[in-house]
Amino acid sequence: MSEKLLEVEDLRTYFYTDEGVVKSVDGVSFEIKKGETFGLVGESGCGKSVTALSIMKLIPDPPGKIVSGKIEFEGEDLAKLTEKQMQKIRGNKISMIFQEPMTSLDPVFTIGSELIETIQLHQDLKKDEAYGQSVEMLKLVGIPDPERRMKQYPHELSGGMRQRAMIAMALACRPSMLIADEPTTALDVTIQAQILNLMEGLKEEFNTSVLLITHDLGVVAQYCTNVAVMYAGNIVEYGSVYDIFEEPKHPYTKGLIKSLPSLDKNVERLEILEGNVPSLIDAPKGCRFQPRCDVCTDKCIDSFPDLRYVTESHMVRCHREAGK
Amino acid sequence: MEQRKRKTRLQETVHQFRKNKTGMFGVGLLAFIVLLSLSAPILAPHDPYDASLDRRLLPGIWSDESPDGFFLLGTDSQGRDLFSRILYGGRTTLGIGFVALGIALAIGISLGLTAGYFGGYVDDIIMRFVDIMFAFPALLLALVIAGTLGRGIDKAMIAIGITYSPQMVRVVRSGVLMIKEMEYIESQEAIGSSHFRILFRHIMPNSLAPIIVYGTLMLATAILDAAALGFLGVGAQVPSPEWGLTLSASRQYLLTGAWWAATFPGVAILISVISLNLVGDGLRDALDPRLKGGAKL
Amino acid sequence: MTKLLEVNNLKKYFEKSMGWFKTLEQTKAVDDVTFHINKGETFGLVGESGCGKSTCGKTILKLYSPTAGSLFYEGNDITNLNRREMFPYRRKMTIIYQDPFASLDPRMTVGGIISEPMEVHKLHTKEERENRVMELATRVGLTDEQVSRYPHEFSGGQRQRIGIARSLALDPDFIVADEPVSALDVSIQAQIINLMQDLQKDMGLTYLFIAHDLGVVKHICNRIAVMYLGRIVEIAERDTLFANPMHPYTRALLSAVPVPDPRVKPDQIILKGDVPSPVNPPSGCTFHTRCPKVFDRCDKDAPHLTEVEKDHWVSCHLYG
Repeated sequence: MSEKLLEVEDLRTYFYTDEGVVKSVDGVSFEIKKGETFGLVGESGCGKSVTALSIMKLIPDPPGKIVSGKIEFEGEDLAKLTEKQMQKIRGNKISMIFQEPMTSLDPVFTIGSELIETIQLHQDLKKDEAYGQSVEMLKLVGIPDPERRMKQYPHELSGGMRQRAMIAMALACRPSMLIADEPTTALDVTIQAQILNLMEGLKEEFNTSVLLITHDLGVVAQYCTNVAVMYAGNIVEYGSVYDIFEEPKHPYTKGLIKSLPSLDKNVERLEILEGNVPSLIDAPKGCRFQPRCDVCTDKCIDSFPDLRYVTESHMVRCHREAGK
Repeated sequence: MEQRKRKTRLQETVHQFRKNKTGMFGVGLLAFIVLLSLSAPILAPHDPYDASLDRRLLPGIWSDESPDGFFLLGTDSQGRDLFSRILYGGRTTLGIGFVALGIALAIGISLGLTAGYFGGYVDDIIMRFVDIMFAFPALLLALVIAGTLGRGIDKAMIAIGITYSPQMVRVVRSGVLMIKEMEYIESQEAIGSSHFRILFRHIMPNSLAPIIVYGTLMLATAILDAAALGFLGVGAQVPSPEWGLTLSASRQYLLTGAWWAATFPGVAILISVISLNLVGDGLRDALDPRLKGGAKL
Repeated sequence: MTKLLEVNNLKKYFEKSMGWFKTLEQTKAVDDVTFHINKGETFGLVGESGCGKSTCGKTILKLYSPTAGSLFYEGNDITNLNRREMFPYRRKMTIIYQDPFASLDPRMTVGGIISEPMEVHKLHTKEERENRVMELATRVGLTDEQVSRYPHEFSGGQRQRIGIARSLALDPDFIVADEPVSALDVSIQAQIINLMQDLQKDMGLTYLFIAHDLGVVKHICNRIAVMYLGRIVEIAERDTLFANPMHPYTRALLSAVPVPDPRVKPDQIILKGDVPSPVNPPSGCTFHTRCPKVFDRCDKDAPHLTEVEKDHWVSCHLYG
């Protein structure tokens, strides 16, 4: 099952604002295979959400624009498609779920009508057939008493239920890829466990690939096959989940893992990453992580490192590490 | 370290406002009108009360029939210079509007702050009173109050001010309710601040934005109402050059050919109101919540 | 070990009147909570959203008036003190908020925010206050020139530092930290946690640390209480709780936290269903609707906290 489903090549998405050009995504490349869960990890402002929105061509223009890059999905370059062509793909071949289901579900429509609308948009079904399929989807995502829920409005459901409803909508048309942007960040940890488990199960059943965007390293470790770590608009490390957690190479990745207060650790003081995330308008000339890096050299200040292989599957963007 | 240009929020608001072309145009227009009115004693070529029956209803300098002595916009039914009357009239009409707004602000802010901050019975009583006031059409209410108080410019000011205060109470109160829920207000309780301090040092300054926007737009309608009251004979009295009054007095001549006598005061009202609306809209956009805190990137 | 704070059978119910007929909707945010905090320790209050931990913390600070129960601070009964009587206590008990964006007045400079508590309590001269502001700002990692800036010019982590400096302005003994790092990025969280630990050591502070992130709680807390739907289900020393969680909810909670190690796949206890609403809590033990170990007694009687082993308290029928 290692067939390529999505290949992003040198994607650049910039936002043109009064204060300058914000280079949110500045040369990002990765690929997702059929049936895998790919993790895109990073802190706020690193560009991971913008990457997802770029793939879906949902970047508001103005002020944003996909400046360059290729987004190859099932043979087509999405970057070159028109809006009308994209509409056939969204919700159908590629679906997206968001962090805050309350704001992504229309409050004046019932769950049922939103589901039916999604289904009818992409499939040639009559209303009652679409209804039946909707109820099936709700059952599939573990919502009890689905017929009653069909008539309810988003605010009548709990956070976990809403997220399940979102997943139902996203998977209604059996997409080949699901983009999940921080799907459980706003949920309690026990509900998060439910939802992630559900997503795992459904992924297996429908053979859907998942692009999982998150800042939670625990979630990444438990659910992802391959991982890309993003920082200030670039991917700084790329590899299998074992590569990243057992042999992290990039100072940022290492720092991130070390500064996590996790349950399996027993330290007095957390090792911290000094400093703050850099501005995306005036990015430093060389390596973007250099101002916070404690092992940087002069070369790091002047030249921007490329992503280089350290093992067959593992790549890192660092002068020091790649040189070894 | 994050490099941000050091700006107070006021400076940022001003900066945002300046980008709004229509808003800036409105400010220019408003400044122009206010300046003209204030400089009436210097600019007016004639005494606005100087009547002369042999120059009744004569056109302005665009026509050959304009009387000698520079009557820019023509004369009214009493032979008075229309331009001078409009200049002086601005002080009256705009003055009524401003004072009325001041009254509405005074009542609105005090009652609104009280209702919003203390809630409970106090809030209920104040708001029911406001609801009752709202049941009356604004102009009608102003008329009734002015009629009760008697005729005169000062009565008009009070009448309009009172009529507009319910709206202002609501605006202030909703602003207060929103700010009251913010954590930085609760943190004041945790420090032990007095109610007074919380209300005047923290809640009021933060709820100014909607008050300013609403106040500007309210001023526009206050001016219209001042003119309306003048037009109806309540408020400004003859021979005051108040715009509404001059409009009313010259209305009948629109059809008989001396269109300027009613038109130019009307235009003056129009320009004032438009400029205030543009400014108000511009302010509303500039004070948009996206300016209030929150990282931009 | 002296007890700094004692909370006995604390209840906080919120009432909302619905419609004209005044039917009261009662939210039992905090429902019979008992624990104590020793001087110098960091006491963790952990639970998911809606469990009442924030309300509990704020009620302890009398930001809400308790519906029932009692609060003792340094042996003094503060339960029914009014606003004026609480005033001197405001110097000793302060709060750090979760949301670094909403907890600072956008119209005040950083310096103004930090010095305000001193102004309210009429402490020091103007000059002394300025010096103290600089001292505190430096202590929390801010620079001198940042003191004259406005909150919106800072990042989340920096704003949290401002909030911490403000809470230290009056040299308090006890700080309620209401989810102080939940809204921050991971790399910044660590900075703030370390800062709080350092400050505790230097200034002899006692923390009530409210959080939902068990990893953070494990790192910084000495003793921990787990809350569910307004009630405490378990209290224990840190190591005991994580090594030997007894309450089924605690067990599920711990197992649900994803471990950042791909080789470790813990057996997750996935709870069924959603958290019930605190408006209509289930009868008996509030957890019985989702408990994997539920039996017939659970929906009838509410269990009480019993000391099952030394310093380890559990509220569950499985244990007596």
